[in-house]
Amino acid sequence: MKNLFFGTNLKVTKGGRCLAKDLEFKIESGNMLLLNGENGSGKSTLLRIMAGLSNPTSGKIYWNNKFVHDNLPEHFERITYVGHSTAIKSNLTLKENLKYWQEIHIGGKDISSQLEHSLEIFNLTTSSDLPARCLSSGQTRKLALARLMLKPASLWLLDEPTVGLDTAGLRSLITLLNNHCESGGIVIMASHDEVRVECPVHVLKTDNFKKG
Amino acid sequence: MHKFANPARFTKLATKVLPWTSSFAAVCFLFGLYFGIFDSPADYQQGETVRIMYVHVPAAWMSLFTYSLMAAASASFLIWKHSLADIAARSLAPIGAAFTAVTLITGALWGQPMWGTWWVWDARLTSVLVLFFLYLGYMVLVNAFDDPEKGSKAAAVLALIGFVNVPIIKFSVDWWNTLHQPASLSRLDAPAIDISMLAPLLLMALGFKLFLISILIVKMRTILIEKRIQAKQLLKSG
Amino acid sequence: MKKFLALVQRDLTLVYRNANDAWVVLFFFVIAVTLFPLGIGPDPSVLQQLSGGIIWICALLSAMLSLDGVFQSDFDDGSLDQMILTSYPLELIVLGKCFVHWLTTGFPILLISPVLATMLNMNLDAYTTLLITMLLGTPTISLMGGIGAALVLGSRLSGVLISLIILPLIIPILIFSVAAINASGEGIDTSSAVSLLGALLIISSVFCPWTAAATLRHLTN
Repeated sequence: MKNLFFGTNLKVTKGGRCLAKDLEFKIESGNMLLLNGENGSGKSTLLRIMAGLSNPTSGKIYWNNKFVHDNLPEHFERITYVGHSTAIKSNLTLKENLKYWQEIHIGGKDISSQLEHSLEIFNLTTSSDLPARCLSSGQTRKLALARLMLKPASLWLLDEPTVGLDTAGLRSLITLLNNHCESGGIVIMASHDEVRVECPVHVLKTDNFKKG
Repeated sequence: MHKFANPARFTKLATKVLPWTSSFAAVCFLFGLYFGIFDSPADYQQGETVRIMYVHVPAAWMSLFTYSLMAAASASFLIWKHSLADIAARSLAPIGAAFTAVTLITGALWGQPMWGTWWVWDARLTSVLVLFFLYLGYMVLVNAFDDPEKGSKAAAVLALIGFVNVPIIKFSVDWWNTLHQPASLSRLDAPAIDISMLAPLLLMALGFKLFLISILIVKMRTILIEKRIQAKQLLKSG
Repeated sequence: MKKFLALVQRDLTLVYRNANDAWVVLFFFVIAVTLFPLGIGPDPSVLQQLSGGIIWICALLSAMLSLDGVFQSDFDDGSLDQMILTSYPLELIVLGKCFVHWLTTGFPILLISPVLATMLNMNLDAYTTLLITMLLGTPTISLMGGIGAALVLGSRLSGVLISLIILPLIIPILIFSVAAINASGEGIDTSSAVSLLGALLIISSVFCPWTAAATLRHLTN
């Protein structure tokens, strides 16, 4: 089934200041939307709105013609959001970090194999029982991204996922993105880096919606 | 209500209303104080000190009334997201705190000749003191955030929680007081208040209400202007 | 339910790994209580009269110390966003966090309070009431404190701020608890004060998570 995610007439404000006005976007299954724009142009805030964490100042977002903010729990089930802050607890081990995240998101099934696999992809297996405070910032980012493997979500919202990643990490991320789009998922990503993926990429320049 | 929720319309209306409320407040104070000080009898028990009542009692009424207004404004801000309601709540807090402070100070001034001490842990004084703390908590919280919008929201929730809690606190303090003190300290249980005392009391109460409205208008206008200046600065910065 | 347990387990693990932080609160409680005899004088009869009040006031202050952390670290590192993004009700997440706060501060304080009561020469008849009031009162503080913790999230000075806004609101708990302890010391019936404490606990266990969750949604917005 094809999914359609779109927003109309969005107004994005932060701290009382208008960042973008009359913003529109539209994205279908199998596609990737790249949010582009200078710092402070509202990319992160827009992603939070898309995730349902914030309300747009005005305008609406729809998933298959259903108003997203009317039924947030349903929306939360279909998304995985990896924000700027990684939500990694430095005193939990890598495995525990992933395990608790998955348990509160999709309930506690036996997931050890999935968990190992996601650590493997980002080359974190050897440190899986270390507390996360031992990780470098790039590795922490990888651990946050490893969550993408743990939840069958159709919409991925990624805020600057490439920050601090090494080439191997970037390659793993791109593989994940390709697979996700191929299997009919949607990716929306804010990034300053160039990310070469195989799926169709649309670019949304947030600068273009600046006030005025 | 929604009709006046527009800042521009509010400013227009407020400018028209303000001279009337402020001059009526002045008139009420003038007559109230005159009757209260010169034209009413001294109490047969309390003597001349009873005249403090004409400030103390209306101030005490206003301290609770202002808190209710603040809670109502906070509720409408949270529900309808009117920024004007937020501004009203923010403006009401220091006004209410001032009324509460006046209540406490006049209470102490009254207590000195009556009970021979500035302060007693009387149930009423104690609950007013707690109310004062609630106002202070609101004022501290509303200004504790770098993002003023967050401050407004948090403080609005606090005002509502406080409002729900006020009866519980009042009840517990009364309960605590009966536990610790004999009822001999209760004052003002004169069976019925004489009209010569009631008239200045009501005049003063009306004056306080009008004074509240006037000062609220001034305060809200100031905040609105501040906001406009800030918006202009933001625009300039691009 | 499983998610609730997972969350509680996660938070408990975190407290366990930072066990020092939990000890600090308990240590503060003990020190604060110890200051009273030093300030007031060692007269056993005076201390006996004040013991209930001293213990309860110190318990309130100690609980305030750790309250601002209930959501703060999860807010700072983005975990709170991730918790909101589950379809699991935020109210229950809040309830879990308040429960962990109680388990790691209120409960240890409850456990050690009889020892301190002995040092303050509390009337022997009052010990049971002390424990009962602690058992009913400290969870209410954690629940009310949960609202406070949500309110001060992202503010400057959140630690002091939370005491300023929550302490006036929990005055009733102090009043009822100390009244019950003193009454039982004098052999008077305590049931009214205790049942009022129970009522406060029941009301706040419904009302507080709901309010705190609403606040969190508003403030992370």
